[in-house]
Formats: sequence, structure tokens, C-alpha cells
Amino acid sequence: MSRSKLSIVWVAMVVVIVLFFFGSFMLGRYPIGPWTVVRILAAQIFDIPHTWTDTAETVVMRVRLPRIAAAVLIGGALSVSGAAYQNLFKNPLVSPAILGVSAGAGFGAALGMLLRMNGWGIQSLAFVFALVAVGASFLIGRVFGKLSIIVLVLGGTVISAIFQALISILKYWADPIDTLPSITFWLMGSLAKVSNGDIWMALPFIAVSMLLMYVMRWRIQVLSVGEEEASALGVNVGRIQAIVVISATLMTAAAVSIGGIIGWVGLMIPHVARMLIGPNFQQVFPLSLFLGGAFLLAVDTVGRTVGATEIPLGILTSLIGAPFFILLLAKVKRGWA
Amino acid sequence: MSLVVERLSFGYTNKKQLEQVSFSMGEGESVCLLGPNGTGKTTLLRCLLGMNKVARGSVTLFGKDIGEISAAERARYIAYVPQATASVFPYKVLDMVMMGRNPHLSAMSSPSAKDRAIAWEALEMLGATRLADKSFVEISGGERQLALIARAVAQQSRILIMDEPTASLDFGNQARILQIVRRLVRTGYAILMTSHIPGHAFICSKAALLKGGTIRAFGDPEQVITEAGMSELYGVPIKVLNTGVAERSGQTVWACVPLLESEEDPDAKPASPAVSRDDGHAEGANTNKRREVTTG
Repeated sequence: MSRSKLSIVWVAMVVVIVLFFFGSFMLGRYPIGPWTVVRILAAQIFDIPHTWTDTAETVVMRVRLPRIAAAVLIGGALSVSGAAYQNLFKNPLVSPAILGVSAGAGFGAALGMLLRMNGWGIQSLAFVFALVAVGASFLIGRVFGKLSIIVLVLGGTVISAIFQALISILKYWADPIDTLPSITFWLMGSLAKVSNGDIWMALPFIAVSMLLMYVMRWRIQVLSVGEEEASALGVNVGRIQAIVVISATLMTAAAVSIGGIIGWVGLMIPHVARMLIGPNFQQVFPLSLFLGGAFLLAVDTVGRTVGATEIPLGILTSLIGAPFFILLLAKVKRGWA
Repeated sequence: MSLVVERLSFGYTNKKQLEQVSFSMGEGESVCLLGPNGTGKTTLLRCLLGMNKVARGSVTLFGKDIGEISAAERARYIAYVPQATASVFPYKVLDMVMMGRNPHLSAMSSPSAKDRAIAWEALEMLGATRLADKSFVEISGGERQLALIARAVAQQSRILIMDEPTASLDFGNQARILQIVRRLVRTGYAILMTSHIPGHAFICSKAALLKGGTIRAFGDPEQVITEAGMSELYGVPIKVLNTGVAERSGQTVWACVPLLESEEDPDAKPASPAVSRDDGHAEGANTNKRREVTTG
């Protein structure tokens, strides 16, 4: 990757992010002009004369801002976790859900809904069970495989299967008039109900985990050559694996608990990043973060503006993402990674 | 001594894989480890690289016990050249070589321009700078081996462990890799390599024969690589030949040839070789075995 091409990719990325960010504020059932959006946002920090309606301010600050922030945060978190897991497991087909984090969160959320908890309770249960699921996978890996990567993945598959079955039981028990639809809807993923409070709840977990991974990015790159070689290259393999699993789990759990299960992003975006700038994790990490944020923001904006009713996010990420990925694959003609 | 292994035993309670293994290696020395499949060679390498925890006996690197140093410190003493990298991502050769700099970086940092320069020098030393910008998936097996050796050189450890460095390489590349091994030893490296070709032992300063988890012989290759020793080690009759070829160095070149039982003549004696013992004239694969040593 030449330096000039690298900077082109980055400049393009920044332009895209800024365009999507302001574009998403403008679009929706209540269209707002770009200049108004800028002034409303600036008014939060600077003292600017109030020339817009209260409705416009409410729409920008309380409806669209949390949604846009959530899309960028969740898209970024899922993509970065996916990229790190693909390095950790030396497998380009791995997604953040590999250790059971989504299945666990889904079970927690469904349980919360069945117990008629409020939004905050549902999110907390989703978060806790996401951690429980990954913890159980980790335990299986530790007890039966001395934390060998293969047994860890097997553990994740087993735990996912168990939690999927538990979700089915809860759906079977759930009231088909109101609880069952809300469980089903949650499992499809949506940012329609995200509030500013949710963002503040998820942000610390995502930010701290990202920082941890960013600091360890070089070691994570070395880990991708395999445990044996990485160990011979002086990497404390067990420690780095633990850091990756813990930080990826925390940020995915935080993302899933506010947005529901949003598939495909964490698998696809790291590949797009590698196609654009090569396999070095040091660059794949930040690019996945931005690409993932931009992608989910674009998809969510489409989901809430096209059609009379919203299309669940998890459906759209696959419907839009998969053809986009095939298109890119055909264009790059370089195969995987 | 760079590397000292003393009464090393390893294995699970019901199955011993290594039993009382002792040997040592100093600077500018090389050891060729020979032994049949499944005899503990890989287990021994893993113990030397800290991948297997040494429970009984000891492995000492430059006077330090391997169990008492960090992964990074260990990697500054000892580097590993695998048969092939397990990486699934198509890294550029220079990026792969740069990974050798890892043990010299502090916990949170990434390689600097200086590390890049050292990686480049390693490629230069092996005459492989033309590969620097190529992706690992588009170069040949011999070039990959070269890149992995460059990575170990960039690591600047004085001990190299090479796991069958010539495995799955063509004839010319085998010779080139052996040439590099010998050159590195001359510059002061201590190299332990495994091989399935006994003739390779003659380019090393010592040969070690491992069978059933124990060292059967260790010492000067010309004394260790004998017909009796080789035949016992591999369980097939093996002829060790003085090819009579003296290299520019004046060293005699030896060749090991396995003797095959005759297929054509059912009346022949059971141990009758397909090769005449008198002139050492071999056919097919046997010819290869003889020649590849003359190149080393």
C-alpha cells in the first residue's frame, strides 16, 4: 500500500463520514435544511440567535442525534470487534458473534421483555447475558482445551446453540399479542428507540475497549500469524488473546444491548477495509471503525426514510450489505482479504 | 554456551514424549536434529521455544532459565523459522519481516522507521529485497522460506530454531537455504535445525539423533551419521557414501542412500538392494538423495 493511495482512502473516508453525518440529520419525515442543522448543532456550544422552530431543535437533538450517534457507535464497535476476532482466530469468516455474545444478549433482552421490565432493565439484562455467554464459552475453552482457539470457537458455537434454544423457549412462552412481536423485533435490530441516555450508557464500554485494542493493535497484528509464531516472536499470546476477547465482548455487548442484533456488519466491514488498504491491523482497525460507522449510519438512514414504516436494521444490513460486498469483490478481484 | 538443555523430560503422565534429553550449542555452532516421524522432534522444538512448559529438566538460554523470562526476553535470545507461516492474511513480505522486531518494542508501541530499516537490512542480507513489496500469497515456497528466515534475522536473536527449513522445497532452493544456514552460522548464529534428509547433517557442526524421545547419539556428523546408526534410526537399510567430492573448502562430501528391496526378482535375497553396493549407483529417488548433499 503506497502512502499516497493510503491518504486518498483516508481523505475519502473523512469526506464520506461528514457527508453522511449531516445528510442523516437533514433526511426524514421532517426535512431540515443543512444550514439549520449546522446552526442547531453549533448552538449547543456557542451562543447563536435562535432562528429555528422548537420542533426542528427537538428533531435534531432528541430524535436524530441519538440515532446517528448510535449508528456510528454500533457500526464502529461491531466492525472493530470483527476485525480483531478475525486476526485472533486467524479466520476471515469470523464475526463478533462467534463466542455467543449476540445469542446471550438476545436471551437477556427476551427475558427482560417477558418479565415486563422497562427499557433500561431490558438493556441491562441483554448486556449481562452477553457477558455470561462469552464467559461460558471461555470457560469451556479453558477447561477442555487449555484455551486453544479451536476449542474456544467450539465453546462459542455450543453456547450460542444453547442460548438460541432458550430464546425459542421464551418466545414460545411469550404473550403472542404484545411480548412476542417485541422480542422478534428486538432480534432484528433497530435504532428507533435509542435515546441520548442509551448512548451515554454504551459509550464508556465502547470507548474504553476501543482504546485498549488501539493500544494493543501491533500485538494483535502479530497474533494473526498464529499462536506458535506469535509466541516465538515474543508475544504473550494468552494475555493478548484475553485482552481481545474481553474488549471485543464488552463493546459488542454494549452495542447489541442498545441496538439489538445487527448481523453482517462485523463480518463484512473488516474485509472491505482490507480490500482498500491491505491486511495490516494497524490500518484495518481505524478504517473498520470509520467504515462501519458510515455504513450503519447510511443503512439506518435508508431504513427510516424509505417506505411508510421503518424496515428493521438487521434486515437491511444484509439486504444492502451483501450485494454491496459482492460488487466490491468483483471490482477488487483479489479474493478474500 | 548459547543453548543448554539438561535432562529435559516432557510428556503427559501416560505417555512420555521426551526422556532425559541433554545437549548444548554454542555461538557459531549448528546442530542437525534427525529422527523418524513422531519421535519427539517437534515436542523438543516447542520446549526450546517456550510453547511447551518445561516441567522436568531445564532449558537455558545464555545462562537464563527459559521458564523465568518473559516471552519478549525469550524472543530476543531465540528465534523460530517455521516450515510455513500459519498466517491467513496476505501480508507484504516487508511487513512480515517487520514482525520480527516485535520483541524489541515496548508493550504499547508499533515499529518505527528504525525497525523498518532493520527489516530491510535483513532482506538485503539474504538477497531478497526484490520481495519486499510482494504479497506472501504471490511468492514461491523458496521465497517464503527466505522471508521467514529474514524475519528471524530481523529479530536479532543469536539462536535460530529451524523446523525442516528445506521441507517441500525444490532441489535448487534446498541447496540455497542450506547455503544460507551455513552462512548464518559463520556470522556467529547458533542454529538448531531439523531435517528428514540425513545428508543435511554434514553441513552442521553437530548431529543429534532422536528416537523414542531420547537422544541416541550426539556429536560430530562424520562420527554420528554411520550406516549402522542411520539404519537403526530409520529402520531401513541405509548406505553412507563418501562421494569423493571435495569442495573448495577441502571437506569431503557424504551422501546417505536408503536401500530399497528389489521388486522385480522374487528369488532375490530379502535385503537385496535395488542399488549395487559396490559402485553406489542408484536410480530414481536414490539419485536425488545423493546429489542434494553434494550441493550442500
